[in-house]
This record gives sequence, structure tokens and C-alpha cells, in this order.
Amino acid sequence: MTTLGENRRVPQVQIRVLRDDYCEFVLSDTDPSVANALRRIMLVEVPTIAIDLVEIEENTTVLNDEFIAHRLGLIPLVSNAVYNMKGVFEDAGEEDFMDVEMSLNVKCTSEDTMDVTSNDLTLDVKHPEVHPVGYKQGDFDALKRPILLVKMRKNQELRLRAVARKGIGKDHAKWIPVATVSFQYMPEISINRALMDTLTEQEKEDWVDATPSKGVFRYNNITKQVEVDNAELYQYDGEALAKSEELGKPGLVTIKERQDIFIFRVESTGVLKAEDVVLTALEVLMRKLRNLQEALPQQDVGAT
Amino acid sequence: MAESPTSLEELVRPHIDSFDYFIGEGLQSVVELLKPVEIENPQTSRRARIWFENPRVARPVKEEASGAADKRLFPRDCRESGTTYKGAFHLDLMVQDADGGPAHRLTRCMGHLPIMLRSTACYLRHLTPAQLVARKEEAMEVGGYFICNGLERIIRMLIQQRRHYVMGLRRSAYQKRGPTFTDVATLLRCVRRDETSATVRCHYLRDGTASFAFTIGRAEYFVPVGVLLKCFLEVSDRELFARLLSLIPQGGDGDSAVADRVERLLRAPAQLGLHTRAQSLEYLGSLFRGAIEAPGHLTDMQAGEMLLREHVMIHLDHAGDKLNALLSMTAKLFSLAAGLCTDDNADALSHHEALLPGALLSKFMADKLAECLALFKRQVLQDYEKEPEKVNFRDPVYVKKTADRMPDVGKKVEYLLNTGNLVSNSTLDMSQATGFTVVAEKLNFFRYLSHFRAIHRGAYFAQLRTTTVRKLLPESWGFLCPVHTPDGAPCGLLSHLTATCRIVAQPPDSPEDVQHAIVAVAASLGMVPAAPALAPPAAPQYLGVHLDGRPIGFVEARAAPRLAARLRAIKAGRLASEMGRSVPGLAPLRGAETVVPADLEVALVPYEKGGPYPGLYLFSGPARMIRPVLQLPAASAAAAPAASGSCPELIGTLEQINLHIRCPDGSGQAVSTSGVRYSHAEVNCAAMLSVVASLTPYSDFNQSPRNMYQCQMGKQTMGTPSQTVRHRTDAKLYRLQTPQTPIARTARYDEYHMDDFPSGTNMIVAVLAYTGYDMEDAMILNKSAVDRGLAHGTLFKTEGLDLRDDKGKAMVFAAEKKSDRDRPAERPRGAFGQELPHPITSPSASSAVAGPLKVRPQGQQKNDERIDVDGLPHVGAVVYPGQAYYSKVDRATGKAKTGNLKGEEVAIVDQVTIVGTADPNLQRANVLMRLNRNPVVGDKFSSRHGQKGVLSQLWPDVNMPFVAGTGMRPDLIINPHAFPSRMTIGMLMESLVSKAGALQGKFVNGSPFQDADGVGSTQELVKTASDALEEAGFSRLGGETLISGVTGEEFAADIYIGPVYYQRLRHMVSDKFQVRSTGPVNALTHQPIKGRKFGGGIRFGEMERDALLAHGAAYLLHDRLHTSSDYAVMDACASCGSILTPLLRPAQTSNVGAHLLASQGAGAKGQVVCRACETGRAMTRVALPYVLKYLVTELAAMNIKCTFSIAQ
Repeated sequence: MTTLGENRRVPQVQIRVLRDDYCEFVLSDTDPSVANALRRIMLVEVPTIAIDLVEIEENTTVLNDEFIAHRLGLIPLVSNAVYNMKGVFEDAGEEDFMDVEMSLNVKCTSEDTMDVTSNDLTLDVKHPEVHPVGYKQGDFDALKRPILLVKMRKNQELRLRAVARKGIGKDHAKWIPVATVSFQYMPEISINRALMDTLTEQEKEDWVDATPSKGVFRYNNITKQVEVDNAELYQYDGEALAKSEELGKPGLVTIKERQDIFIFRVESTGVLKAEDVVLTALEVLMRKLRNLQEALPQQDVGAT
Repeated sequence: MAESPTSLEELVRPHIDSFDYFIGEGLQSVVELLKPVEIENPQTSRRARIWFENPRVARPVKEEASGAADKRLFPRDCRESGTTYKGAFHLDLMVQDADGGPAHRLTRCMGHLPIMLRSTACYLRHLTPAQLVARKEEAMEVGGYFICNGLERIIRMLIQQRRHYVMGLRRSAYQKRGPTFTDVATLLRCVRRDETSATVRCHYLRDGTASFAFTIGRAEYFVPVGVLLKCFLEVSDRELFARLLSLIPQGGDGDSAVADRVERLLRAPAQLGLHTRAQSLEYLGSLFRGAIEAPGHLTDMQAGEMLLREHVMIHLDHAGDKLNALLSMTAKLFSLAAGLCTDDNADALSHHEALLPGALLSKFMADKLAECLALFKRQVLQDYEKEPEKVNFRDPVYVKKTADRMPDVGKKVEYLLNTGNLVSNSTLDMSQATGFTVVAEKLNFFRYLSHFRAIHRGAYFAQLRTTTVRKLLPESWGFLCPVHTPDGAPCGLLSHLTATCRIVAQPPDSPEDVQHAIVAVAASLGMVPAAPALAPPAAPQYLGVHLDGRPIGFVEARAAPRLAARLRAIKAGRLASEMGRSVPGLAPLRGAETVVPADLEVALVPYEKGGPYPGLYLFSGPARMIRPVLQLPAASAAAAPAASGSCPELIGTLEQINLHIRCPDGSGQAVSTSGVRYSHAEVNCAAMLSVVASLTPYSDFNQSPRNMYQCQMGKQTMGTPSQTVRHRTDAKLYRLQTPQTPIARTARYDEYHMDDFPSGTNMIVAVLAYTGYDMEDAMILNKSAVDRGLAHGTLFKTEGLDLRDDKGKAMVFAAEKKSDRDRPAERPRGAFGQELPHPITSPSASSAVAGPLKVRPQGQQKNDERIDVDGLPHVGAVVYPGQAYYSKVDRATGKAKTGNLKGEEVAIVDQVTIVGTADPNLQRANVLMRLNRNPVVGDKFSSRHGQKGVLSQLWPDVNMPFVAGTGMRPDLIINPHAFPSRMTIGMLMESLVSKAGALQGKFVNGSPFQDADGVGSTQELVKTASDALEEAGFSRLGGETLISGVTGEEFAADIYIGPVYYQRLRHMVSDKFQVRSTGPVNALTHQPIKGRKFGGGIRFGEMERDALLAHGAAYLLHDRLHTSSDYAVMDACASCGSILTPLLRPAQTSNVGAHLLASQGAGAKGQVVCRACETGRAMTRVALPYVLKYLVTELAAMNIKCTFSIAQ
């Protein structure tokens, strides 16, 4: 086994924003492959809980059984309990916690149209912590409105049993814990001062205005200089380069993407805290690496 | 029409209006114009007259309904019970005895006529949307179709020759009519009030005279025009000469050659010894009395009159009019022959009209009722022969008995609608006898609507090898959509009406008053009315005025434009007043002017040397295509802005080609580039597009064939076929589970309520060559997006169960009893390995999988998880291929029979409908099955720009590229190579504009030709979109930085990404896949059978064989054609070389049982012996194709011996 030498890098994480449902951090001193591995794991290998099996006893609504089952599956369930659960494909014993049983029993008796929502689900008494996101809270908060399942007219009825299980996004999109998770390369912008100085003031201002994402460049009225304000806002639109060509001054600016700094944005759907998504993802990544490491020595004996 | 029709109703109006006219005045005309039958008593020579009166069509009622119930039969009942929506048709049979006594009336039901939905005889006619929904109909049901045996069928519109317009034609086929015939002829299609028609022709002969052709039954007859001209009125040859010559526009200098010909024409009768009208009539009468079946008591003269009445110019009643019409036909013929005018193009829409459902039925009905009368007559004549004493027209019992022999007319109409076949003794003046009806498929709303707007050129033209008829001619502008025609066999023949095109479905309310009014108005404007005594003024200084094929007078050529303009002003005024508006600057209409119909066609063909035959042609009759255009103010008022004085006017096809209509080009000029002053202007650019074509956004940016493809694909899209799926019984119905409304939509999208029937999904499309799985029009779909429900769909199938199909058995629906001998069912499997949810057998804590299902239907019968005690399936039951889903029991034997699910797919019972029949016991039920059709690899998708593609991979979210800034992953990836050669810029526009629209939460106007119409500017649109994108922090050009989901590396180029409305097409692998390893074989040849349905193989044919031979792939060839086909090992006798003679001789044993065993068992076989050689020594086992044995046997049966030389 080789040890990492002098050049080993220690990736750094700098957290910028951390809310329950959003996390933004800068990962530096590493490669795109690591960054992408982290993204991929956050997307599809962080386990969550979602309804996976539906037994329909009575369904006289306008939507058919599969449709309702599909909609139930897509309801985000608060999945903090997932760490204690075992998935269907894991080695489990009799005592292991695998299923969360919910049920729905609704009948419309009024003349008006009735909305059946995630709030109508009856939770598993043994696991009340597993519940739909925004379950029976803040009905007045527009953002926390329950999730509509189906609308009913008088005498329509829906009676079913739903079993939620642990799973990962690889199997089905309903287990994906995030709305989006993406990373961006940090742009590195350097202005050719000498060349820039050959522009008139008006041209400088025009050049700055050419970039659609505002705030990347700034024209400093005092120094009469073009400055890079916030390189991160740059969208790689190429307008600045095009403008330079147009002005007959190619090479006014060089823009490169840095291969070792990544800005991560994680938006959780609410099933897990954004922070937990990242941490679990790191854990999964570590586990994968450990598995790899354990498998390696037997093969690497002759190599080193 | 009291209430103003909605835009959708307007689309089917030609169908409904014409049917309304048919069941009302149309049938009345049919009966009035039907010739009474005269029956002569052979003994007394006294004649009785039989005719019909008083036709009426009742609304549909339930036949079997008991007294108290609602007797009304609604369309929905017919759909669900597979019956026909029809109402009783009653007629009064009138019998007047020979002595001229009072007529006896016998009311008789002639059968049941299928009723068009939303017609006056339909219950749905005036229902509001809410009432329609209560009747289980579509809220926006527009009708226009019939329900025949549960199927919705419509009568297709057909293009026919324009009626009452003399066509001058040059056709080489005309020379084949006789030795002296030339290729020049004039032709006139005459149509009576009851829509029966007869086409007559005038042929130019090589000797300078002309021959008149007409059809009786299916035979064609010719008469010299000179003879015919003398038959109508007492006119001198001199007068005829002058009249004929004055009609030929010779441009001033009298052409002596033409005069010579006219003279020769008029001399012809004299050569036959015919000098007077009476002589000519008698001559014709004597010749034709056999052909026209003139009764024996008529004189030759009367027979001649009958001939003229019934076969010559049947649209006119008066002899003077007929003479004038024949004169103008002859004049046009001579003009054409002399090269004074050009021939008409029979393929141009200006010489066409539409055959409407009502007209077809009217024609058909006239024929069938005549047959009824003829049958009645034949019956009476038979009775006269056999038992004359029985015949008594005063005896109602006798009349009724005889009348009961008449055929059921309703049945015949039903047959016409069911099959589309026109069964008749004569051709009914039609060029085809089949294909008149089609099923109005409700695959989606586009397809459904286009059925009503489709118009076919005729089956005759489909087999024509020349393509001239298929050409898009400028005459079609504004009436037929240039975009919406299929490619392939029916291209150019099956067109669709533009959205604004209407068809005059019925003649004016009182045609005679209207005709008088038009003549009066024209006369007040300078027309010289035609009078028998008056020699017409000479052409071309004067132009003939024709109204519906009747020459009504002459107008000075210089005054004609003024006359036409005034008539147009009156038309526009009438149209405005119909819509409750007024035309600025137009004096109120007075007197006869108020009767001039708004849809009057005023076609002024001015004189032009060598141009088309001049004249002022007015048409007020039905079947004409008309469309609104704006009338521009006259030159005097030109100072005013163009738009202020313009008012809509309805123009016809012949009228249009003689007008100067300005197309919107944004310039709004009053004078064209060639210096012609425009008299009219198009309402807008969309006027040239059909409904379906005008729903393609930015179609003006696409290469034109792409828009045609979209018109086809729009009609194959899986969407929302109907809001009443539960009450429909279509064999197949595709439905998209979560359809969306497009972000970029045209103005017509809302106009036609397309949001009620959406048919696609807005997908985020990245134009990108990603994995190679998007090559050659394949596309990649985001699997996670599909997981979330993107493009999920369902296929609904209705199975009609009818116990009456088991003839002679007393079947009831009942469950089958369970028996102890039943073997446990095998675990069922569907296509692509579809299985029941997998039971995990580990001793897990999972309650759902370990324990039995908690929800279980109760029952103790066989298949009780699917079939209820009543023998019908549970709603919600999952049925696997081959499993029983209903069972019925024979009451006599007690034996049960199950119905098993066909196909390879898993179905779910959606609904079971019990249908009542005449039998009080349950006989019929419809089972609605639901099949899951979520996207799988191989399914077809298309954007609205003719860009179709096949799904080649469902790529998981993680592997999809993502936008660096927002983290969005595309739903769909399409290869950029799809664009350069196809030039579908509209799709790129849609993507950009929809992206901006989505960001702003706004819909975007995607109407084509916005710049020309002046409603917007596409440049502006793109700029606004770009600005909006910029505002939201996106690139102006729609490109974004994407990062590969697989490697995490940024793409070098920006990727064009944005929402595009995608349609899911109905072509799905689940309906098409065909695989087999082993399977059924043909019993005779032992080769695999063909056909997907039967689990057969795909033919490895001659060309495939050639390919393998060419590659030298001998082993593969052997494998395909032998090993995997009919490989058989058989015995052959090497000494005699036969494969037929070897016979297995069982081992000699006395034990019969052992013998049987031995002959089957592999080891203890007997000896194979050659029957010819009587020995088994030379016996060899050889592998041969089994068909060879068959061939040798067949040959042996024909005494041909085949010997094989067998070497080791």
C-alpha cells in the first residue's frame, strides 16, 4: 500500500449558507471526480423513506388505483427515522424496523368538492415520526400546504393501506432526498490591465454592461478601472469575450474555470435536513471507499 | 339560427345543417320530385297512380322499453349497447284508382333512419353543456356523426364537380366516344332540388357539328345538338342561328368559320327530315321510349317530352330555360373549338363543390324510394297476372299487404352508413360506390376534429397514375389547407377545409323567391332580362348572366363590374344584418335586395381574348364552399384608412379567382405591385390554415414539410380523447395521465378549447449529443422524471360481452364452482416479465410481504380473486395474460366457460357496465380494461414541429447532465443533428420563448405570421424573451453551461435548453414487439407460423437469404432456414432413394400393450423397413427440412417419383 506523499491534498469545506432545506458550501482542494461523486451520492444514494406498497380496498374516485398509488409514493415523508430502518434488500431479522404502515380512509359526504391531501393519512402509531412533510401544521402557510392527492365528489370513497419503506433514489425517484443538488466550478477571471487601459471610458462601461449576469464586473468611477466584482456570478455566457472581439481587443479578459474549487448547492425536499443529506452522503462515500479498500489488498499484493 | 354557434360547432356545421335540411325539406323534395308510378290493368287498360307523401322522421325511442320508463333513446345508450341511434321514418303511400277517384292514404313505417347527433331529430340538439354532461355526453359535444352499432361514423365529404356551371374541357378520352368525336366537349352537371343529379355533355364533332350526350341508368346516349335544339320551343332555324352566334365572343370581327359550323349544326335535323318541333320530339320519342321506359299509352311526342323532362337539363323546369342553357353550352363548345376561349381546369377548386352528408342521403333516398314504388308496381302486375280478382286498390288490406313487400329503406341507409357502400341500380351520378363513411376515431381531439373537416377528392382519383389531381392549385387558397394533407397514398387527395371555410349546406329558404329577387335586383342594375322572343345582344360587348345554371339575361360588359360590385355590397349588407351589425356607408337595403342571400356567389368572368369564357355567374345553391374576406371600400372612398370601411363578405371558390384579394403582408397597400387595385383583403393569415395546422406554433419558421408531418403526428398523439371515457365503448382509447397545456400556443388554441383536451407535456429539452443513445432520431428521457409521472399513459380497452353470441345455448353469467381437482394456478407473467409484487421469503419483519394480503375479495369460486359470484370481474382486479376475467355457465349442461385475457399485457378491470337488452335476463356487459402504458424504450415521442423520435434510453437523473447554476436536469435529450437538415427553427423558437414564459409565468403567443397580421412582431417576441431571460439571470440566447452527470466535467459548449411541448405518439412497442424462440408451427410444413398475434416469427425472406448468401454466411443461413425452421430427422432408404417408403415395423410381440409402448418408446423401437425394398438394411437417418417430405408426398400424388441418392 502506498501512502500519500507530500502532495496529498486535504479537501476543505467552507459552509456559506445552512438552513433546514438549503445548504451552500464551497468544496476546495479536490478534483471534479470527488465533487461529482459527492453530488451523485447526495442525489441517489442517500436513503429516505417513501410509500412503496399500497393496498387499495375501496377506490371510487376519478383517479385509478395505480395513479393514486403513484401519487402516494411521491409524497415526501420526513425520514429522520431512516437511520434505524432496514431496507428490503438488506439483511434483516424479525425485530428489525422495516415498514411504516399508514392508512387512508376518506369519504366525501358534502355536496362540495373535497380535497384529499397528505394530511388525511393516518400515521403508524408505532412510528409517528414518519409523516408527510408539513403534516397537519401551518395550514395557513402557503408554503406548508398539504399535498393534494385527489379531489372527491359526494359519495366517493378512498380506503387504502400504504406501507412506507427505506430506499434510495437509484431505485425510484421518490427516494431522492433533494430537489436539486448541483455544483459549479469557480470561475477565475483575470483582466489584461494594459489592454483594458486602451479602451475609452464609454467603451469600458459598455464592456461591463455586455455581461448579462450583473455584478461580475464593475466599472469603478473613481479609479476609471474595470474590476472583477464577484467572479462567482459569472455564467460562462461568453458575452464579455464577444464584446472584446467586437471592440477589436481580443484578450481583454481571460476566463478559466478552476478545477479545484466547487460551489455546492443542496436543496432538500424536506425529507431530511440539507445538512443531513450532505453528511449522510459523505458517510456513504466513506463506506464505499472503505469497501474498496478492503477489497484492494488481496489484488494489490503483487503490484507494490 | 337563434343562438350563435361556438367555434367548435361552426366546424361541424356543414354536416349538421345538411342533415337537418335532409330530414326536413330535403325529404319533402325527394318525395315531391319522385315520379308517381302508374300501374295499368292489363284487362281494362285502366291505370292507377301510386306515390308517396308526407315524409317524417321521428326521434329515436327505445323499442323494448316498458310502459312507464323513459322511452327516449339517447346516444349514450346506443354507444354502450352497441346499437344504432335511429328514428322511425314514416311515409304516406297514396293510391289513386284508375277512375280518378279520391286518393287513398296509407301511413307506413319505412324503417328507421340513423339520426345525426345534434341534428333537429336528436335529443341533444339544444342541450346546454351542463345538460349534456347529465346525459353522459361530452360537455362540448358538437355532434355531426351517426352512431351505428355502437360505432361513431361520419359521412365523408367529397369533392364534386361544381353544379350548374358549363365546363369547357379538352380530354383525349372524348375522342374514343365515336369516329367523328374530337377531344373538345362542354359539360354541365345538373342537380335537382332533391340532390339527384345528371351530367350532360356537348361533344364537338370533326365535321363541325355537335353531339349531346346524356346518361340513362348506366348507359350513355348521344343525340345531335341540332335536333335537340329544335325540341324545346317553336323557333326558327334563323333565330337559333342568330342566338347561338351572338353568344360566341368573337372579339368584333365575325368569324365566318364559326358561322359555317353553326349553320351546319342547324342543318343536321333537316337531313333527317325534321323541320318542326313536333317532328323532332317524335323522332326522339320513338328512339328513346324503350330506354326511358315510357308507358305504352304515351305517344312518341309525349315520350320525347318525357325524355327532355327527365334527362335533359333536369335542374330547369321550363323549356325556354332549357333551350337557353343548351344554347350557352353549345356556344361555349364552339368558342372552345375555335380557340376563342380556353378550357377549364377540372382539377381546380373553382370548379368544385362539396358533397355533404344530407345530399348523399337525399340522393340515396330518392333512389331507394323509387325502387320501393317499382317493387310495388311489379308486385301488383304479378298479382294481375296470377289472380287479377285480388287486386283492389280500394281495399286497404290489399294495399297494405302489397306495401309490406317494400324493402326496409332504413336498413338500406344503415347499410350505407355501416359499410360506406352505395348500393344502387344506377350510378347516382357518382364516380365511386364505396368509401362514403368512416369511423370518427376519438384517438385524440385533433384527429376527431379533422374527420369533420376532411374532404376527399374521390376514390377514382386515388388510383390515377398521374399526379396532376394531387397538385396544390392556387384556386384552393383559403378554402383548403395547404399544410394539412397526409403524405403517402392519399396525399393531395384528402385535404382539410380551412378553419374559416364554410359550406352552404342548404338552398335558400324559398329558392324561387330568392331567384326572382336576384333577377329583379340585377335587372334594376342594368341587366337585360332574357326573353324567348328577344335575340340576345352580341358577345363580347354583352355578357350572359347565369343564375344557378339558368341564363337570366345579359349585361353590357362595361356595366358588369358595377353590377357585380353592387351585388357584393348587398351581400355584405345582408351578412352584416344577419350578424346584427350594419355596414358603414351602405344605404339600407330595400325590397328585393333584402332577399338576396349573404352567401350568393357573384363570379364575374370578364372578356379577355383567348381567356376563359366570359359571363356573370351567380350561384345561390347549396354545396358551395365559402369563406369570409374583408371587402375594401371602393376607389372613391380610398382616402379613408383601409380598415375603417372594410366589412366581411362571403366569397365562393369561382368568385375568388376573379377578385383581387390582398394578403396580409404588413404593408396594407391598396394597389398590388402589378398595379391592380385590391377589392378585398384577407381577414388574417390564419385564414389559409386548417384547425390542426394552425395549432403548430411558429409554423412560419419551419420548413413546410415538417408542418405537414406535425399535422399527421398531432392526430396520432396520446392525449385526452374524451372527458367521458367511462361512457364510451371504443375498442382502444389512449390517455395521457398528466397532460399539460403548452406554454407557447397559437391564437386558435384557445378558440377551439384545446385546454379541455390537452395532448402533451412541457418537457425540458436539451439539444445535445450526449451518450450516443440519441443518434438517428433517438432520444433520451430522464428516468427519474418518468418515475415522477412524466408522460405516463393508459390504454383503455372495452370488451363487449354478449351472451347472445352463443347461439342456441342458454348462457348466464355466473362464477365457476371451485373443485378439489383444480391445480394451483401458475404464477402469471406479463410482457417484459411483468409480475405480481414480489413476495420476499426471508423471515423479515416486513408485515406487508410476510403476511397474507389483508385486502381480499371474498368468494369461494374459481378465480375468485378476479371474478365475482355474478361471473363478471371485480373492479380493480388485476388480470394477467391468459387468465380468466369472466365466466358464463350453460344452464342446460351446467358447464362453465371462461373468457380469458388476450395479448401479453397485464390488464386492470376499470369498470363493468351492465347493458340492458330486450331480454329481461342479463345478456350484455361491457368490461373496460386499463393497460399501463408508461414510457418504455421504443415508444415514440414528437415535438410539435415534425420532429419525432424513439425513446432509446431511460437515463437516471444522476447520469443526466445538469445546469451548473440551477442544478436542473433535462427531461429529454435530443441530438443537434435533428436540426440542420430539417430546418425546424420553430422548435428552437418555442424552446427559447417558452423558457422566458415559464420564468415569467405567462403563456406566449405562438401564432404563425404575426408580423404580417400586424398583431405582433416575432423579432420583438424574441427580444422580449431574451430580455426576460436576462432579467432572470439566464443567457439571452437560451444556452446554459451544463456539467456531465457522469464525469462531473463541464461541457465545452453552451447547451441550448428550454421547455418544448412534447407529444407522446400512440405507436408503442407494447403493441408492436414480436419475439419468439420456439413457438407454434404450421401443421403441414412444420415451419414457424407468421403473425404477431399468434406468437409467430418474422419472415426470413428471399432478400434476407440473398444477403446471407452474398456474405457467405453459410452456417447462419443453415441455422435460420433449417435448424430454426423445420429441421426434421427422418428415415430414408439408401437403396431405392425414397423418403416416403420407410415404415416403422413394430417389434414382433403378442402383447398389444407392449406393442403400443414399444412404438412410442425411444429404446424398444421396432425395425424401420422400406416398403418398396422390403428390407431395412439400407435404412439411413437423415436430417431434412420437413417441407421436403410434404413436397415429395404432393409430387407422389401426381405420379412423380423423387429419389435421393444417399451417400455416407
